[in-house]
Amino acid sequence: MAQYVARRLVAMVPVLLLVSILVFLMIYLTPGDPVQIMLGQSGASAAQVAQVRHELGLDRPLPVQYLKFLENLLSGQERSIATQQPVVSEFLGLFPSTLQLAMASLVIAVALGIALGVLAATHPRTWVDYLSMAVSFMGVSVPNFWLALLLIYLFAVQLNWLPATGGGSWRQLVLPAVVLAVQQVALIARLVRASMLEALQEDYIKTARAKGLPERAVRLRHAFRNALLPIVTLLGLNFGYLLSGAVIVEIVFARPGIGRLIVDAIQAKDFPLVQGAILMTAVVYLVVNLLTDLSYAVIDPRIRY
Amino acid sequence: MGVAQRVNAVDDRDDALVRATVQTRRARAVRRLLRHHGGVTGGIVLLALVVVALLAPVVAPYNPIAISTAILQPPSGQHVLGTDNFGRDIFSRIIYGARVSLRMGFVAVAIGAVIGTTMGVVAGAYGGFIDSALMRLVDALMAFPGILLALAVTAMLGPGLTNAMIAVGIGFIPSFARLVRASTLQVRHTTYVEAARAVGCGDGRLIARHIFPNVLTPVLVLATLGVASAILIGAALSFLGLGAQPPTAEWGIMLSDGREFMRRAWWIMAFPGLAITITVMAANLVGDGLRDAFDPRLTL
Repeated sequence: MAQYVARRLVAMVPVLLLVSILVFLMIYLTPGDPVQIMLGQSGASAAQVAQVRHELGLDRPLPVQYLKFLENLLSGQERSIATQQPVVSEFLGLFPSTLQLAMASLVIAVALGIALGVLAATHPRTWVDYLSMAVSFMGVSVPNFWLALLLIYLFAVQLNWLPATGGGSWRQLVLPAVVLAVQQVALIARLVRASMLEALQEDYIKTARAKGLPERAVRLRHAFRNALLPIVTLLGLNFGYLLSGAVIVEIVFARPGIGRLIVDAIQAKDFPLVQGAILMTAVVYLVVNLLTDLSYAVIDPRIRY
Repeated sequence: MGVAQRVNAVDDRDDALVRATVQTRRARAVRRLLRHHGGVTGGIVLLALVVVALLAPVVAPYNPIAISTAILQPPSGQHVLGTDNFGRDIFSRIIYGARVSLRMGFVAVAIGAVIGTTMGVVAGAYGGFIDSALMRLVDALMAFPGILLALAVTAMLGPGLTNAMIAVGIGFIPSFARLVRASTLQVRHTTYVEAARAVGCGDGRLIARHIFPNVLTPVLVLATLGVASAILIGAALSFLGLGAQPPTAEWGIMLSDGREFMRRAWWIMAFPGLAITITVMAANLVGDGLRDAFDPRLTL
């Protein structure tokens, strides 16, 4: 087991390196001179541009710059152009808010998704099944920013039950979490249904029924537990949807968070912040994926290769 | 009959048998597809949307970017879906918006599919170091979840519809690359490919005539589902102001505009969103239909 963990960690290193290189190169793949972009159209003279370029170390060879980039980022020296705060602290300051949103939506999504999926699997090919799958299908097709606007319109504007924007209180968490949960419910419900249908075909189910076990116990104690395995993997994949969906949701609901940080930074052309935030988000995502893979190996010992 | 003639006769019969089998398999798949209610409905809706988009100048009652004094009018006889804050007809803007969204869907998927498939085939066919290197690159791309990659690319290239298409397209490369690589690896070890190699079939010919046609089916399914996804992400980028720019009539921008006027004019944000939903649903239905038709083992 320890060997497997070590091997996966080692395998992650080249990917991490490649990711950091790609993010670092972002500023060079931009058409136009990065320094001029950063200084804006403020009519800086050629001497000023050269000076800023020297200050930022942009006239050194690329590999040296790359190492400087990493060093600056990790030591907290890389600063956002707009706020002059270290990029790392900006990111870490807003990360809890996004995490809160992600966890809240995950709880809703897992609860609803499992309920819907189990319901569909235990009443196959009835209206319950078709309805749940239709709901799941719609969840994937509806644009989440539109759903957010609709919910704002209904609950904040018309009914005035919940606030439309901001973050901090639990009431402001409800609508964003629901919107973020919708897409996940769709995927989870579908997977739970398929997984449970498969589990219900197994022989041990026949034995349980033949034993005289009440149907409810058959479903919960045997089928459901075994159906749970693939769901763990899904939750890892889900994290990607969470991060990606959180960007939109945070903007629409004007919630503080990583998503808004990145988009605002892009619009302000604040390259250090964009690079740092994107790199850190990617790292978080990679780590979560690694943890999911490892947990899957813990649950199912056959997976350790 | 002489031995040679008898052998030739058997060869011809085998040939014909193989050809007939392949044709029946395809015919069966097509028949399955047509029987799939969801897929057919989705296909008809999608086709209708494409036709409407192509005929936009004919179908749309007003010029989509023409400003007028009839601002924030609710749906009426004059303006079927109302007007926005510049007095532009929403219905016409939605019809023209279909052009932008469908183009985004197809172009982005095309970019991802072409680059991804090439990478996948090369990685699967040649293996070894090339395979490792390409798959590491794919892993690195996959480290950026969903819209984040599109945001990163837009940060580099700047806002705009073309840049957005490229950004979304790059996001599809990993999925196609992995799928095609897996398919290629499967096909590569079949007997007939080995036989073709033994006869002296060159690399390029091998890939083009033997490997490629067999990876086509799953690629088609992924591409169709990809169109749905691309339309969603493209609209999201435009909603954030990073994709299509005003005054272009595009569903994402319309939603962003509608947000401001939610209280006074709910129709500005309601109908573009509906348009996106219907289009994406249609594409998803077609994709599901294709998947069920080509691989019925996956249906439950």
